[in-house]
Amino acid sequence: MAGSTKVILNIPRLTGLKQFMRSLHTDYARLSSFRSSSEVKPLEQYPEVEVLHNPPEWKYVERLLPPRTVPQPVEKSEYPSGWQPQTANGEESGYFVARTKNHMVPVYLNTRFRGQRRLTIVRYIQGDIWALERDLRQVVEQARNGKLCATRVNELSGQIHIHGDYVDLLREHLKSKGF
Amino acid sequence: MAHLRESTDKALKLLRTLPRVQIGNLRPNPNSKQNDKRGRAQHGGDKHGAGNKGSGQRQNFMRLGYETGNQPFYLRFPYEPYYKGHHMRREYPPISMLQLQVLIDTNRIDISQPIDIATLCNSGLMSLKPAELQYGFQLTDDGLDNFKAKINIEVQHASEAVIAAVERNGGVIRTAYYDPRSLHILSNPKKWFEKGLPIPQRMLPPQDAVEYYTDAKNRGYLANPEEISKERLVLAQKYGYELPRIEDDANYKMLTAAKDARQLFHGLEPGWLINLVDKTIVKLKAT
Repeated sequence: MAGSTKVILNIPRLTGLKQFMRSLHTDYARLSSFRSSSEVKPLEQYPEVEVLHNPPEWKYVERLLPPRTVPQPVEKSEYPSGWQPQTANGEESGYFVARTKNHMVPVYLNTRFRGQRRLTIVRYIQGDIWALERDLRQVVEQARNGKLCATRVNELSGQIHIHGDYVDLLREHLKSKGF
Repeated sequence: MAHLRESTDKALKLLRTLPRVQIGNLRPNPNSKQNDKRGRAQHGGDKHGAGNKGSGQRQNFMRLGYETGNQPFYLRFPYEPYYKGHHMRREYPPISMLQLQVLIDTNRIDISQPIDIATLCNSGLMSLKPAELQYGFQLTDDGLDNFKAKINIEVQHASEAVIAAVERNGGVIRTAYYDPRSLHILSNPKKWFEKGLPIPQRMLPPQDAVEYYTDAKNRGYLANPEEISKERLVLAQKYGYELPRIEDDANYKMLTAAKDARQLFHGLEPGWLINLVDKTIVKLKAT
């Protein structure tokens, strides 16, 4: 009996793997908790099993375990989706827009009043927020054919709110600047 | 002014002994509370807005839509049962090709291994609710022109254009059915392994899904493999691209890796018990 032991599975009268598998599907509540499990029977009534330490199939199990943290992006020659890694560190511009934990550019759309008011929100801003606000406003006003654009700066939380839906425009602008 | 100071001192002294003003010793403002009792006869009396005689006074209103003997409006016209059987319909939440490409670009999924529901759910950005009749993911054609990855992917539904986009890049796509219990396991394999139960068998598709999953055009997992390779060629000619030869590919083994129709996880067979703590696999002894 070296290398093989008996493990208690709460299955009454097992004749084969096939029947065991079928019972797993027909009896939903079974084995699900301590209450629904049947009483322990003599060991002879349970199927003989072997416990494998360091089995070659363990790599398939490891593949099914999720990563504990968000993985760092790896450098690639091209990014077909349009996503690109952050390159700027904000030294030349005086301000810095950090990426989110999922490595995305933090530009969001906030809709209120059943979509009647749309606000573009840029978050995670560090450094000279007023310089960034001037830059973004210039970009938006250019897209609006010179019409003025309303902005609001929250210095404390590092956010800029821009009136209107300019999410794609500003995200591409920030990406072109390396943020 | 002595008497004034005296009374001030008195008031302050009294205030020190009084309890603090707090929610427990406040009472509502006078007349701010309405009496919720409807008085009868001399105690208020009258109709209280309910009117004289009829449904209004007796508060026994007709059932909704009843028109006192007319054919009711809601029954007057024939209708089309759009939502008939909605409580039984299978839902396949969409994932666009663009989303998939972003996942690959940001290193959220590993394309050197076959991609299935567990891979997508383990990325932490997709989730599946089998209890709400979600039966897996469908790949949609958004951003299909920018898709440039060679993958082996298994989804539950895919359109022809999507299949062509995957195969044009030298990849393999397969549509496969999972029963709700298997989906529950695949949506969070780690949590399920921790329960310490043997891996169950995957069920075969229900009657109305058999046709889809046995069709080679849909790259169904129950289709004849020879027909699938023929359909790959037909699709390449239809969409006008040269089909890359996956037989010559360095990753041929990975690209052609497929689960058995009864298998839940790649490389793990039903009936095995996974022990994450001791890192052991318990198998039934072959007889």
